[in-house]
Order: sequence, then structure tokens, then C-alpha cells
Amino acid sequence: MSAGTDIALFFGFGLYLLLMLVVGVVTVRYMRSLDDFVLGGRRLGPWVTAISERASGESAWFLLGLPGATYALGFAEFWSVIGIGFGILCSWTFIAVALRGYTGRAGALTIPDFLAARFPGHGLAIRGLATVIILFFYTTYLGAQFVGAGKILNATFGMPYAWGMVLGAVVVLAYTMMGGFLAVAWTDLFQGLLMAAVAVVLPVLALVHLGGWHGMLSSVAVKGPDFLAINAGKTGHAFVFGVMIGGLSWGFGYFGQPHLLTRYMAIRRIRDLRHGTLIAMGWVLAAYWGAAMIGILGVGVLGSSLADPEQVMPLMTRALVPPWIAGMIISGAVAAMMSTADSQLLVATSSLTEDVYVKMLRRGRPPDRPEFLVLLGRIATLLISAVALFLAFTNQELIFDMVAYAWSGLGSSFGPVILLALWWKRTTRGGALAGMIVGMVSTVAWQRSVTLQGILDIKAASFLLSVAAVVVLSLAGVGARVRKPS
Amino acid sequence: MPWSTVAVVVGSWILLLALTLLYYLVWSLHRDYGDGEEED
Repeated sequence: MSAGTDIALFFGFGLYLLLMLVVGVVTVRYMRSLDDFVLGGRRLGPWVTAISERASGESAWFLLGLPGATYALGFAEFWSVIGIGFGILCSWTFIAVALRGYTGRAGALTIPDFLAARFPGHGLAIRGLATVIILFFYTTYLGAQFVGAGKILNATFGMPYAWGMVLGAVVVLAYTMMGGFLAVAWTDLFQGLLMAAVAVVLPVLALVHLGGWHGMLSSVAVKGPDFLAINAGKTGHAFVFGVMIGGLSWGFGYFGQPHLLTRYMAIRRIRDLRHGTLIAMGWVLAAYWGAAMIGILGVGVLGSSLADPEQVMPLMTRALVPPWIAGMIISGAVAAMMSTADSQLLVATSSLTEDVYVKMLRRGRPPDRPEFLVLLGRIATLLISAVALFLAFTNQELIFDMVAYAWSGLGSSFGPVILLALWWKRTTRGGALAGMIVGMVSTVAWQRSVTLQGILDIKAASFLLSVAAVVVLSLAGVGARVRKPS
Repeated sequence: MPWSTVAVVVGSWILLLALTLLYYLVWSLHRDYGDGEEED
């Protein structure tokens, strides 16, 4: 790589980082209360809500992991894309309106807040358990995003791995601490549009480069017929439970990700969710199928022998476009990481401040000054980032293991409980607690057992077991509210 | 390219688009936003 190329790449990337910091500085003036810091004062319009939800929902996995998987496995990986697409639509359809309505009426700022309002009781069990799940999964999930930043910047610019992690963490931390939820949501808007643009433009450029559809098909023939087959050459149990359900079950996770659900809670008016759904699904339909095609087309552009398939997107970008544009396009991958990391950081922060401090430690006491709570939020943001960065430094395997693990853990601990709490009146407090525990425990058990993974995919198994736990204990009346005789 | 691959990849995209538009259309006709206090 020449010095001129280096400078052009850095220029595109530096421009992007500067823009993120400007948003932080601009939004800092709107931070007057904890409500402003953790939920933006419920002032978001449909465009910011929808694109922010999409950008937060897709981490570095979207432009690195998914193209890497289609590059290695072929069209069978589209089952994941389909599961994700329908999962997102179901989440906007069955959760967004009901959750925004309920939390708006109850004044709930966080998911543990919502659960505590929906299942009132004397103890702090439900709020405490939800907070533990959030803090455990999000600090590790966040650590994985910082590892992602280190790997992207190392592969693209040759920056030392540790510096890349620290740079990614410092930029995210700076604008999140300054502007809170509003900064996160507005940077997400830009980042989400950049990610979609990359996922649409790059496959088109590659297709033109290869001479159209027929050119692509002849250039990927080197991978063999299974690469083009939707069943990856598998039949029977291996196809149905391994390839198909394994891919489709990614969709279950969307019901239980607090960093996405808080986007629905922050929208200004419930009716804006109608446009929000259309915008979010437009993003999915344009970007997701395109991101998956990057890997397929990458075989034609780069050949079939990449040492690390997850490098297919940055390498293809550098092969097809001039360096300064490549800098901006590769920023899309960093944007995918940052837009997820900032949202996760904020959810973990709000759990510490709102759930642990305000609702547990200060319960029944006079409220603190709003300025003090915003300051506390900023300190919590700093603290959680430090823990996540420590985890990133001490565990280099994080990005591979913990992202899927945390996705499954959060999805199955919260998804069934939230879905049933909103739509099934008979759901009891005992059922909700059992569902959260079973979702968390079954994720850990499945992760550690190859035998269980051979029976059913971790995401589907832990979600279904959690649903069963909520339904059975609710029907049995465990933890049901006792009505006083009149 | 196998017809089953084309059917699943393209068919699922069209189905998702159709369901999204159907949801938007039904909500537009329904005009119920969940709770009255949200109207302004």
C-alpha cells in the first residue's frame, strides 16, 4: 500500500470519526434529566427511530461476519437472512406498538422498569434479575465490539490491534457520554444510512465488474454445486435442523434485545411507528440481501482462497473503488460496530443508574437533582466502558464466541417474557421469572454441550424452552397477583 | 443455478415486502394508534 493510498484511506475514515464527535458536542445541550439521557425525552421521529434501530441491531457482523459466511458457505446462508428479515418484521409488528404504549403510560425508561411495572410485587427479584442479565451480557457483548474495532482497523490501516480497540472505544465513549441517547440515535441515523449504502452499492459494483449475473455464476463455479444450493448439499435432519432452522432461528433474538426495544420506547408518538416499520423494513429489504450477496460476489472478484473469509468486504472494496471512497466505505463496517456498541453501552448504563440506583438503592427516598442523575449516568458509562475494554484486552476470542452467545442469551431471556407479557394477560410474575432464568440457563447449557447443539440450534432451543417455562408456570398460577376479597 | 435457490431467495424477499406493505395498509385503514393520549 502506497503512502498516498494510506493518506486517502485515513482521510475518508477521519472525516467519519470527526462527524460522530460533532454530533456528541451538538446534542450535549439537550441533556437536562435522566429521561433525556437514557431515552432522549421520548422525542424521536420515525426516521431516526427506524434507522437507529436497524443500525443498532446490526453489529460488525453485518458487513464482516455475514459476507464472510456467504463467501465460505454460499446461498444456504440466506436462511439466516430470511430468519432475520422476518424476525425484524415480527418485532416491529408485535412488540413496538404494544411496548411503546405500555411504557409510555407506566413512565418506564428501561426494560427492567417495564417488567417491574407489568409484574408488580414486593421484592426486587424481577428488576434485579433483569439487571443482572443485562449487565452480564452487555459488558461482554460490548467488549466483543471493541475487539471488532481493533480487527477492522488493524486489517484496513495496519494500525496496532490494541490502538484500534482503544480508538473505537474512546470515540464511542466520548459522544455517548456527551450526548446520551440523542447522540447515539442521531449518529445511528448516519451510520445506518452508510451501512445500507455500502450493502447496496458494493454488490452492484461487483456485479458490473464480473460482467453481470452470468459472469458471476461462471466465476463462482470453482466452489462446486453445493455453493449455489439452498440446502448446501445436505438432506433430511442435517438440512432441516442444521441448515434451515439454524439459520431461521436468528430471528427469535430480535424479540429480546433491550438495546433495540428501547428504540420503540423512545418514539414521540405511537402512530409514528407505522412509518417507522416501513422505513426499517425498507432498510432490511435493500441492505440485508445485498450484504449477503457481497460474500457470494467476493468469490468472483477475489478468488476462493482468502485466508480469513471475514475480510471479504474490505478487500473487495479496495479492489473495486478508489482509496478515498474506500476509506468511507470501510468506515461503514466501523459504523456497524460503533452504532451497536453505543446503544449497548447506553442500555447497560441506564440499568445501573435507573434500575440499580434510582429504583433499588434510593427506593422510597426523595428524588435526586436531575443534574446529579445525568452526571451519574456519565460516570456509569465510563465505568462500563472500562470493564468492557478490560474484557476486550483479556479475551481475544470474544468476538466469535460471545456475540452469538449474548444474542441467544438476551433473546431467550427477555424475548418470550416480553412477548407474552404484552399479549397474554394470564402471564404471571412467577412465569416471567422462570422464563428469564430458563432462557439464560439453557443458553449456557447449550453453549457448553455439543450433543445438545446436535439436537437443535442454541437460539431456537433456548427460546422455545423459555416460552414453555413462562406458559407452564403462568397456567399453574405461580406468582399470580392475589386479589383481596371484597 | 438451482430453481429452489432462486425460489427461496427471491420468494422470501417478495413475501417480506408484501407482508410489510400489508401491515402498513391495514394500520393506515384502521386508524387506531393504541391509546388516545398519544394523538396530538
